[in-house]
Amino acid sequence: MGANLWGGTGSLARLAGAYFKVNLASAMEYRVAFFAQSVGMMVNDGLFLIFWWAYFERFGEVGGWTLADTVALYGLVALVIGLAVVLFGNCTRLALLIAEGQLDYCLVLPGSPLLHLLTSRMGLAGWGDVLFGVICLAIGATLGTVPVGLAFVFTVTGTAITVGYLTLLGSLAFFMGNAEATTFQARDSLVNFSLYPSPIFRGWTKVLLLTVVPAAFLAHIPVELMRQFDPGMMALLLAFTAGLWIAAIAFFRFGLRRYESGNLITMRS
Amino acid sequence: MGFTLHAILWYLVVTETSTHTADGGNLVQRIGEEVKSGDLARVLIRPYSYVAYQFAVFWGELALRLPVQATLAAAVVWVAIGPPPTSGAAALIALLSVALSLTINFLACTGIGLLAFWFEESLPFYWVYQKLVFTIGGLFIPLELLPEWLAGIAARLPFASVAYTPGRLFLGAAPDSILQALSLQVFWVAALACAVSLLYASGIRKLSIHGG
Repeated sequence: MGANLWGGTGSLARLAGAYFKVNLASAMEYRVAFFAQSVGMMVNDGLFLIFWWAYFERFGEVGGWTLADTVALYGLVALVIGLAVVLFGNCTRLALLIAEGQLDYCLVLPGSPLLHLLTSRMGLAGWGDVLFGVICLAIGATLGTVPVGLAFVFTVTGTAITVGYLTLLGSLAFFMGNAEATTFQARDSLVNFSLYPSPIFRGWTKVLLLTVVPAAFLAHIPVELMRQFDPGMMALLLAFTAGLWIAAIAFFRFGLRRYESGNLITMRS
Repeated sequence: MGFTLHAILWYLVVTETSTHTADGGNLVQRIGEEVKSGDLARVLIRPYSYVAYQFAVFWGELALRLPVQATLAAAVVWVAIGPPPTSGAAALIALLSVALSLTINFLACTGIGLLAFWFEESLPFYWVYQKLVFTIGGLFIPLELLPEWLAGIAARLPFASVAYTPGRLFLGAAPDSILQALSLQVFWVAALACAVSLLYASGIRKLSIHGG
């Protein structure tokens, strides 16, 4: 197969950086669309918070969580989803790319095929999420509810969990053929469950969010850690993040070993 | 007015059915792509209305999706918490309201899709519209649970006619409230139909075809 999936860290970073510059330059060619999508996504995220503002106006708190905690939750989720879509824009389309044979193009390039696949596209709307997330977390930092250092760490872990999870699911296309619907539902589940305060979830749903749909590791545990730091919980979060990434890369690599090109002629998008 | 958990869950069945089955995002993208690619031009030489054609496609897709999703959602909630807190008459009125709600949703999404004549991307407008339906449209919670001043304004906007009205009528309401709610939905159908007609006519006038 030839390509070294792991590569050197420096060369991987340079490759990702090069793709980022090209993608950003390409986005700037259609500035109206770029700004419309970014602003639209920011407004979209802000409107969602109106529901919670109205809820907390009437009910005050939910399981000890206040509006400030929910704003921190939204900020973190928006920021990590935004970064995942901006930096690894194809993470949501991996199953489609594999099924359509667009993986073939990456296999003949030097470097990691997975990195080529993930970083060769930038989701423009993600910039709106990133900006919204930064604003929410900055408000939280100003109010003293969001420790800046922890916010930075959880941004990194959250982005890694999002991209790792979507890579793991997208790699199902090597085995299922058409895994787009599964990936789409799983992605939506991850985002939707992440956006509700964690005290709402009990029993088997809590187990679900710690395993099959890791929304708890993406958002709930980080916000709980920002409210009350626990070294054991922090270690668990870091271990889960590392484990998920190792599993995602290994699963992609395993699927790639049994991949056979269909020689389909496609337009690379 | 208080709502029990039982009532809220059945309210959600109706509101979620009347909004999510419509798949407005797909409609906005489809119309937007046809405008941007110039495929819309092929409609201009044919003896039918483009908007009416999209309306027929919309209801054709709903003919399968709506009963299947409604039945599945109702079955799950019925098994989980019991039968709906409604009467036969209220259910029929809610069905009429759902039909009007879906029509309003269609017209709103068509109007947003036609914004592609002026903006390269109309999907951001759809995102904002969708979130307005979710929040002040009463998709998640009845308007009665919002702050009073906000509920008063929201009740008069088209977003509530998409989500809140069918759900609220399903739970039962006084006859004059039913008449008021349905009249407001009919008003929004008429208003949005006029808006879409104007948008379409205006867009066709400035249509230019890109690509080969």
